[in-house]
Amino acid sequence: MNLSRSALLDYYYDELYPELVELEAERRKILKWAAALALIVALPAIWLSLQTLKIGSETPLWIAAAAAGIFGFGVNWLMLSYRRRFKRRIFSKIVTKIDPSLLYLPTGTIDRTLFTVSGLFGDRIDHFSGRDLIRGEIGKTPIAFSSVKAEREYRDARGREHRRVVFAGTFIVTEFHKSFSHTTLVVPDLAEKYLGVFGGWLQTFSGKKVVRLDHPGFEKEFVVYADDPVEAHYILTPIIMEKILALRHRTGSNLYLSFRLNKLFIAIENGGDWFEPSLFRSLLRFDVFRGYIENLNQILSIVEELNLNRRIWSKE
Amino acid sequence: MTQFLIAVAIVAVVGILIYNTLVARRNQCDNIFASIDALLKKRYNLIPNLVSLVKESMAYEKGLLEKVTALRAKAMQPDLSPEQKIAIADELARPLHGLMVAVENYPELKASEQISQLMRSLNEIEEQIAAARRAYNQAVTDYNNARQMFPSSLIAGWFSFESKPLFEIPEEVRENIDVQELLKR
Repeated sequence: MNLSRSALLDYYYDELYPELVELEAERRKILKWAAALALIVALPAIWLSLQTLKIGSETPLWIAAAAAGIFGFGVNWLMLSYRRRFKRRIFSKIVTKIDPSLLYLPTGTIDRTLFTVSGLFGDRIDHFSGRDLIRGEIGKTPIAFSSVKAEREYRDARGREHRRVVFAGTFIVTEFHKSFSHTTLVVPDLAEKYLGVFGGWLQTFSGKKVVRLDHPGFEKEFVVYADDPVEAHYILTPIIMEKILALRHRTGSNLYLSFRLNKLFIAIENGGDWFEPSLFRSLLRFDVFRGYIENLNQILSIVEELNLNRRIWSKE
Repeated sequence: MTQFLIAVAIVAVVGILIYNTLVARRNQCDNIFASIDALLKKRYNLIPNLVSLVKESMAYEKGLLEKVTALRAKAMQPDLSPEQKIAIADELARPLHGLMVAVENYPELKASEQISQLMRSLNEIEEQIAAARRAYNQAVTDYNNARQMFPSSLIAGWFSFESKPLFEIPEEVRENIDVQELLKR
C-alpha cells in the first residue's frame, strides 16, 4: 500500500504529468479570471461604500460582505470543472494506484444514517452533505470513508435562524475485530484538557456514563463514555489506546471514535478538504501531489495500525 | 435560627450526596467483580471440552491436564471468597496457557476446526477477563480515593465503608497468547 518515494516519482512523471500540465494551465486561467472578478466586484463595492459614507453614517459593512459573497460564489463556480477534472482524472488514478480493489465515487458520501447511528454527534442533524466516497477491503476488513459536513440549525435571541457546523472532516466506517454488544464512545476531552481535574469532575454531570481508563496520556486527550465499563476496557486495551493516541498526534486533528453495532466509526475533524485541489497551489509541485497520497495512506493505514485484520477471537 | 437551619439542611444534603456517591462506587466495584466471576465461570466451562478433546493425543502432557482439571474442580467449589476466586484463577492461568501452547506442538490437534474454535473462544475469554480486571481495579481506585479524600472520608468512616483490595494482574493474564502467531509456527 505504501509506495516508495522512487516508485511514486516514476508514477508521477510517467503517468500523471501530462494530465497535470493541462490541469495547471486551467488553474492559471482560473486565477486570471478570479483576479478579473475581484476587480469587477471590488470597484463598484468601493464606489458604493463611498456613496453610503457621504449620505449617512451607516457603516458599509454589508457592502463588503456582499462583495465577498459574490466573489466567493464566482470563484467556486469557476473551480467546478477544474475540481471535477482533478478528481476524475488524477485523484481516482491515485486511489487505484494505492489499492486497485478500492472504489472511488467523487460525488458519493457515507450514508447519513450511518453518521447518525455512530452516536458521536447527536441524533438531530439538519443538513448533511458529503463527497469523495472511497470503499473497499483492506485484507479481511471492509472500510468506507468520505468527506462529510453535518450542520444543525438554531435560533439566536432575536429569533433569526443560523447554521452551526457540528462536524466537518473525514468520516470512516469499518469493522472492529472483536465482538461487542454495547456502545463505547471515545471523544476529545476538552473539559479536562482546559480545566484539569475540575473539568474531569464536570464530566460526571454530563448525564452519560464516563469510564475512566488506566492510561494517563489517553485520559488526558480523550473522554470515554460507555454503557459497560468492562466492554470498554475489552475494546480499549493498552495497545489500542496507544495507537489511537498516536493517530491523534499524527493527524493533528480532533478524533472521535464510536464502537457500536459491531462497527467502528472514526471521525477525523480535518475540515473535509483533504482531497480537494487548491486554486493557490500548483499540482506540478511534487509535495502537493504527495500530500494527497499521504492523507489517503493515513486513513487506509488505520486498519493495519489498529490491527483490525487480526482474527484471533471468535469473530470471523 | 433560620440561618442555622439552612446551614444544617445544606450539610445534610451534601452528606446524603456523598453517601450516595460512595454507595454507587462500591456497587460499581461489586458489579464489575460479578462480571469477572461470570467470565471465570465461562472459562471453567470450556476447560472440560478442551481436556476431553486433547487428552487422547496429549499423553505426554498428562501432568498439565491433571493440574488444570484439579484447579478447575477447586474453583467450582461453592462459598469461595472473592480473594480465593482470584487466587485460584491466577493459579490456573499458568498451566492453562501452558496447555494452549502445548496444543501447538500437535499438528493433528492444530488442524482440528473444533479445537481451533475452542482456542479462539478461550483467547477471547482470557482477554475479557484481563479487561474486567483492569475495569475492576479502576473502579476500586475510584472507590478507595473517595473513601480516603476529605470530606467523603468522614462519611466513609461513620458508615464503615471498607477499603477494597486491588487485584494484581499477573503477566500471563496481561499477555494473551497470540493464537495466530502460534499457528504460524
